[in-house]
Amino acid sequence: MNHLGYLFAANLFVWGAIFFYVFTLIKKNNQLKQDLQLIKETLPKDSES
Amino acid sequence: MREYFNHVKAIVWKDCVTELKTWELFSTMFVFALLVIIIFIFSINLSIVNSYDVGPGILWVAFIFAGTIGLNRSFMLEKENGCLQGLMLTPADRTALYFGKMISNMVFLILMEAMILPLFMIFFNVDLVSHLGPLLIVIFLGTLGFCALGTLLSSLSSHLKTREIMLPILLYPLLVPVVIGCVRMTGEILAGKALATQLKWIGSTACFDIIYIGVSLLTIDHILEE
Repeated sequence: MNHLGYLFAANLFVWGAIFFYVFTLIKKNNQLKQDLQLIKETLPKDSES
Repeated sequence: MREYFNHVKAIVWKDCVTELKTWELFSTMFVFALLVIIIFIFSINLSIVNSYDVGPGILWVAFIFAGTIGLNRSFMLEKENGCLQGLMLTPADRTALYFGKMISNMVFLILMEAMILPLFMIFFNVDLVSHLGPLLIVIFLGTLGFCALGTLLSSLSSHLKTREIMLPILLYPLLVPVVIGCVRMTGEILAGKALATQLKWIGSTACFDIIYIGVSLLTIDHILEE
């Protein structure tokens, strides 16, 4: 039980990597939603139906 | 709320029916856990080493290594033929999908553990029967933490090309606190101490279980959206 510092560091690193990945996913999804919205707005009204 | 539970139940039922048809997951996990225990028996001289000292660690190594195989298959089966896409198109909440998968993983793992425990008792000449109640509580806490975190990371790694390598790399460092707690508690229980004297470890393991479930509920929506 003398190496809890290493355990904490490993935990911090892996949780950090997971959260970073999740944040990039959120960012990518938001970008996709914005792009979809833009396409919707640029399409002529009659082609929506 | 009832609808939510029905969704969870439907996913668990689907997984159980799929598994009952093939027994693929359960048999693989069981054989792997058995092999781990047998390898340790041959590598450790039990006439020198006390089996009560090394037994808990070996037992949990067998559970976790075998469980990782099950977790790897859990979301990979859904990815095949676009089944995950189909599940995502259902009106079920994404957290219901997570809980369904977590519970089905737990069911398979607990079944495997129930089969491994008597064999462990025979091979290591350890008396588990007189400590069965507290031991089951410890195993439940450990399995809950393993499945809560494992299901999240399995869903995360299922999108990656190197999923079979990534899951253990991500899972094991995060699981260490729960494993330490479970191994300590199992060792103390086998040594004849009451579970009430292990409140510190029970508390820490339960806290990590709650943290894993909480983080999973916060992130699963975005991970499955990918």
